[in-house]
Amino acid sequence: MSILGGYKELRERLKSVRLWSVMAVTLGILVIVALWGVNQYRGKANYHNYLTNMWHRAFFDMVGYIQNIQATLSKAEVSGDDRQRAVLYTEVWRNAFAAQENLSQLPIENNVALERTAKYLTQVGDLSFSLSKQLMSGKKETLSQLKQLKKLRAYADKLSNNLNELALEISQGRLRWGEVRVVGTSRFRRIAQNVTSSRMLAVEAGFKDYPTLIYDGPFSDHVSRQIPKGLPEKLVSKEQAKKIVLDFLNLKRADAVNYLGLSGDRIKVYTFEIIPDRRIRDRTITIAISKKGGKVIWMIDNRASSSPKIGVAKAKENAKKFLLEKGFANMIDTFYLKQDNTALINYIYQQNGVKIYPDMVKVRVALDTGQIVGFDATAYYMSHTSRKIPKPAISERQARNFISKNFDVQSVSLAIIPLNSGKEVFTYEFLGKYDGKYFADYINAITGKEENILEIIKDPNGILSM
Amino acid sequence: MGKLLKKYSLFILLLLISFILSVYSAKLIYDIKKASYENIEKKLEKALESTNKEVLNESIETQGSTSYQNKDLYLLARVINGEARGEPYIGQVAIGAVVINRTKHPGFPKTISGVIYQPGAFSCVSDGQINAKLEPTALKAARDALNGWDPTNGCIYYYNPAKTTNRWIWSRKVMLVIGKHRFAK
Repeated sequence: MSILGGYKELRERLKSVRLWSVMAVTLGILVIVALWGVNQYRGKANYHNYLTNMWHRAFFDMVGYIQNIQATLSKAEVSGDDRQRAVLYTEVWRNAFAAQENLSQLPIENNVALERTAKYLTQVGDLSFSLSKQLMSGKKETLSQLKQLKKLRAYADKLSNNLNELALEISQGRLRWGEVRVVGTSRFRRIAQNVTSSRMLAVEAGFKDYPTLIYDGPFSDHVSRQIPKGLPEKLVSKEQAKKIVLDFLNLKRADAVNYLGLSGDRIKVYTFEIIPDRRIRDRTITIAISKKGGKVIWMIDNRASSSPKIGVAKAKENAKKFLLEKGFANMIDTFYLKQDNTALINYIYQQNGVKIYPDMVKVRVALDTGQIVGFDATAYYMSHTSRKIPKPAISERQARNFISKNFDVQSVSLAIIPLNSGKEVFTYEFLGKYDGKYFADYINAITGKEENILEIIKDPNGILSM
Repeated sequence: MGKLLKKYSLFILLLLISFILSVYSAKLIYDIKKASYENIEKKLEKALESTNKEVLNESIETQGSTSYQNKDLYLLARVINGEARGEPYIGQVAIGAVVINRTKHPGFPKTISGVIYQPGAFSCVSDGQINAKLEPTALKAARDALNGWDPTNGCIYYYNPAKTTNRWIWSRKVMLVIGKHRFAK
């Protein structure tokens, strides 16, 4: 067929009404698709704007909080009034935690890479809070504490300068957050890769020679560097550890004993995974043995327990027997919790009638067979040592004067409790009721200071503290 | 020829109808989802209102038995489920322990929800796997982690060497390997 003939045929066809209708339908589809696309695009743009606004809010708030930290810290350096400084320190604490919260909301590729900046903010807040507490109890800051503060303020100066520059560029629209990715533009993305992120990471680099901070708070550097007090000095090898594992579990043989690695910062442990019997599918026991002293630090047996056949009393009996067998004497049970057909029971050490809360061991008993399926003695080995417990400097009657008159005391005993900072204090423990709820109130047995209050929650599934 | 066109027009008509139907059903699904979100808002409003009323009436009955439930349990279980479905049980507890270790570390947010929703921190949060169907073992693993068991002995990072595209994470010192995951400080 010639080209001309083809053209003629097409003209013929165009005249056909049917062809027109087909074209109209096609056009209609195109219009619908276009409308749908526009709608989708608008939706996407809406989400994008919404997210960008949230991120900007978080970023600018954070810059503001960091400026407040810097300003408040320098005021505290100038101020000579103890009460004024205590107020300023709590102000720093509030701003630091708000700044950290906003920092963790920023869409930095690898947000966790901002760990150092976050750590700085946490520690500035934590240190200021402990200083304000210290001032409230009438003790002035020491020279080294003042030095630390000055160093931290210098970081705040630097940080807020860098962030101010960044804030200016962002508000002028020269930098964008690049977290929401457009599919199919990966090459472009690599070029413009998250400009803001790389700038934030540059700010982070300013913390490279950040000092080690030791003070009286839960996020102080000394907390992660504590040395276990309850472990024997002798080091054990991997092979010896393996033997200890089989002894501890009373296993003559196991189908597989896999070594998982040596880990841990405060207590270095060898971790093993044991499959006692390949025929019982999925049952593994994981257990950790300390390199120092060769003690079992924790154990998890993931055997699924069926419906309970024994009560909590019998479970406690089994757990107590287990503890004695493993060399834990003078342990008394405190809190317990029933879940997943097991009972988790907390035991603490008792010395001459004084409860030693830091020396805690957790034992989990399966409520079908009464077998021990979990064990954790980390806290015990971290703190257990032969303590010299002093005589209380104040009597129980005197201590009672320090607690609220509304508190209906039901029992009193002596206890050593851990504080957030890792220190221990010697206290009177008052257990009682207020407004239908149970509480434990701890009064320092030497100074009469109230050290802690816990709410005790009792329900059908257990007793625990908050 | 005319017969053929007739055939095609029917086909096109069907295509059009199915297209419109699919758009509508997509919209319907979207609306249903939206409605369920609205539900959360309504429920929250109701809860706040009822506590408000109770406080006003000063008629809070003190409850003898509090049904104590850790508010973070399900959230933690969802992350474990999203990150480590199909991993050995101990690997699931380990993921939960990493989240909890971060809340205690100065360089991370102080709450479990803060750690989990930190942008870019967990891939299952970014890609929606966190909303996958919850397996019962994940819940059990979350309980173990909340009760203090830490198979990682203090690790704050982990990655799957086969899947990660993040070069930065490789610079961290690997402490132990559980299942497919490497755990690092």
